[in-house]
Amino acid sequence: MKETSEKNKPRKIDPEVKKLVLWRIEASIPSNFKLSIGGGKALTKEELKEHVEAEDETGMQIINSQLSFIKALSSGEFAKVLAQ
Amino acid sequence: MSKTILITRPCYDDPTSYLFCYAGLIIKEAEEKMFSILDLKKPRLTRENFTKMIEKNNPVMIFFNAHGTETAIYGDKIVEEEEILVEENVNHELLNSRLVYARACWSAVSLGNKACLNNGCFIGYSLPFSFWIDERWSAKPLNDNTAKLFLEPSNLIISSLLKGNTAEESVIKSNEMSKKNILKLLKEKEEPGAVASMSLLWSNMQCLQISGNKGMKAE
Repeated sequence: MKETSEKNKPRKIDPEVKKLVLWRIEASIPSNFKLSIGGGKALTKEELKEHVEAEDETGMQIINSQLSFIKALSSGEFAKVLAQ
Repeated sequence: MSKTILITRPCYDDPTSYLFCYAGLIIKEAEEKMFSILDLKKPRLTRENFTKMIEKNNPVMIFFNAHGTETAIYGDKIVEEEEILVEENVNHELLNSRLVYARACWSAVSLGNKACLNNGCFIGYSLPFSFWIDERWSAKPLNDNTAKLFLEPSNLIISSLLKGNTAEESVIKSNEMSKKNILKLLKEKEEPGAVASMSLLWSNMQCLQISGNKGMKAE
C-alpha cells in the first residue's frame, strides 16, 4: 500500500462504528465483487472485512468512505446533489 | 499539425488492467479525431521514456492511468517495484502548462496544485479513485457492467476534452453521468451490489477535483 492521506492513517476507531461498517460490507457487497481502492491489487469482500477489523490504512479508507456516504444520505446532501 | 496526447497505460494487476482497456477506448476515439497518440505501455513505460517523450513531442494533454499518492503518479512495475513517473518537487514541471487528467488516487491533493502552474490544468482525485470489479468478468474488463458504471464517467472526461469542451465542462459532464448511473441503480434496487456501487460513485464524484485553468481545452 502506498503512503496516503493523514486521515487514513491507522488509528483507534469506535467499536460501534466498526461494527456498522462490517455489517454494511456483509449486507451490501456481493461475493463476486472486488474493490479497486488505492494502490495494489483489488480486494475481495473477505479482505475488505479483514482490513476494517485490523483498522489499518486500507481499513480506514473503507471506514471513511462508508461514513461519508452515510452522512451524505442522512444530511440530505446525496438527494440534493441528485436532484440538481 | 495534429495535436499530441500522451497516455500512460500500466497493466500488472486487476485495477491497472481495467484502466488499460478503458484507456484503449480513448486511444481509438482520439485517433478518429486526428490527435496524435503517444501510447506509453510496457515495455516502453519508464520514467526515462516518459520524460523524453514530453520534451520531444510537447503533448497538449497527458492522461495518466495508474496508482498514485498525494505527491506522485506511478508507471509500470520495473523488477517488481512500481516506478514513479512524476513526483512533486522532483519533476512536476513536466506537467506545467498542460492539460492533465490523472486517473490515479489522491494526486489532486498536492501534486495537482504544482502540476497546474503556468496556466495548465490538472484534473484528478483527492481520495482514491475506486471501482468495483465483478470478478466473473475480470478477464474481459470491457464486458464488466459493474466496472463500467465507474469507468465510463471517468472516460467521459477525456472524450469530452477531445470534442473541444473545456476542462470544467468535461468534469461536469462526467459527474452528470455518475449521477445518471446512481439514479439507474436506485431504480434497480434489487440488483446485487447496487448500494455498494452507489456509495463508490458518490465517493468518486466528491473527490474529483480540478485545479488551475478550468477553461483550458485540448488545443
